[in-house]
Amino acid sequence: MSSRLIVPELTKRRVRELASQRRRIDKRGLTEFRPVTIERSVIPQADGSALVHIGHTKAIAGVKIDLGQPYPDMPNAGVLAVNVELMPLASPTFEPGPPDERAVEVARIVDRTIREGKMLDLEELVIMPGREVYLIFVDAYLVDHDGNMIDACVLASIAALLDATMREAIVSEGKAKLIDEREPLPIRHYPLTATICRISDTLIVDPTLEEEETAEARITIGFDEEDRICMMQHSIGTLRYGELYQAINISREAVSRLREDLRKVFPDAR
Amino acid sequence: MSEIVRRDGRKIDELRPITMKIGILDKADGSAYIEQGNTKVLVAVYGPREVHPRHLGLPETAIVRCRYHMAPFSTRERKSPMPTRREVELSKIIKEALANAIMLNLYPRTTIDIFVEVLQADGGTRCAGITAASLALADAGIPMVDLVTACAVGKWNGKIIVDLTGEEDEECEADMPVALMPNLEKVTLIQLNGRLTSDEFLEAFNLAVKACKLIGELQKATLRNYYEKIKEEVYEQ
Repeated sequence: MSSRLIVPELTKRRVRELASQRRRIDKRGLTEFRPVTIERSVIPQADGSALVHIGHTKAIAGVKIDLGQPYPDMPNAGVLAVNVELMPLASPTFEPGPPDERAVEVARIVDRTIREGKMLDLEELVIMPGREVYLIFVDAYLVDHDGNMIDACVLASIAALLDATMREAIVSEGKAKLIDEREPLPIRHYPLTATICRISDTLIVDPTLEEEETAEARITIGFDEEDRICMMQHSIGTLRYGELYQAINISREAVSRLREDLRKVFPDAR
Repeated sequence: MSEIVRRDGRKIDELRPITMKIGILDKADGSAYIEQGNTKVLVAVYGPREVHPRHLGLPETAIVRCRYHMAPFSTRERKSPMPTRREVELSKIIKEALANAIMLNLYPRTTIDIFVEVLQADGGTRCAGITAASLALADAGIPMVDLVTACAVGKWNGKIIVDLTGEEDEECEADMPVALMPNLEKVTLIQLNGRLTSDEFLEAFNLAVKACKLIGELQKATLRNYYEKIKEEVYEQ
């Protein structure tokens, strides 16, 4: 399939061999993320933005905020719309065109992490119920794909939302208008995810591209700052019941370490 | 288990009434129909057959393609027949949930196409779709390492419950679809929307395993009945 990058069998074999000895091809610990850097406010045009590196994987996310109508079935909630683009410049296996099933899946994972992790208080984003609310658009772009695009897109999106400010709205003569005063978004929780792969019966965190292509199973688990599970998506292979429990414990630890990286850039983040 | 009664009077660990049928479509290589409460799903399997376009074929294995689709009349308000992002994602994860059970290396350069059509949606459509698709694959005579059986669990009103209706799904604090191969004890799909503590997760997962075992027995009974009948017809001749 054209969507799979060809990793040489020799490399895969090496990754498997090492995993069976509980080692990794880049000498990392099994539950260790690659070096993570988060840069905020990289796009001044956006209302909030962040550039994230997880090893060689890079993702950039921008937040744009506008006024508009709420969804008819949710008149008392602001609108959150998440989009993910796997840009053709990020990998030889990505092609221009509308988002394919991989991009849609990642977008929905990011969306659910933010929504179900209750990151934003959407009710605070209502200006006139049923008529005028804030629309929060989060666009995450994967710009270099060296594995674990899910965590990169989630982290970039969360960071961009933490970075974002929105213009205050005033209502005059029954119409809402944005003024130049800015306020932070109503952030309530700080969800983050960690992705786990199984290779040769060993569970590892934050797979590189080589590891992901070798993996027998993959699952992404999201936690809020109180260690509640807020998102789960199993996306490659099969997992034994026991591995599921193990994966939860490993990812909880990994997320809490990732949260420290986030806190260095956003000291208010819990 | 407990006296907490749900909106439809069920206990927290009680499934809705389930009926399954197989071999109901004439042209498809395999087909199945499932009703789980008010949820009604029709599944057809075509293949293994030639891949079009051909470049998608793989030299060592069959590929699996899946379309999960909701009929415009399946929901309270008409749903546009255009595929939504939800349907694109569900097609992908249903495909993966089933492909892991199929012995794909037996049919190189071919495709197995699975069409999941939701006729009426009242919660648990992806799970009912997976359960039925696994039957349709069996009906098509495609070798599998185990049946795949699926059921949603969730947290509603502070309680962990099984097999959520559409209404419960809208009101719930968390919803977790699970698909398993019950004999191999392997998970082929797990998703979670909403918040659960680790303990609640364990409780929910164990409930899902129990429910999937029950549904798996129904699947086996459905297959057995169908082929017993064919056997009888053959003997009569």
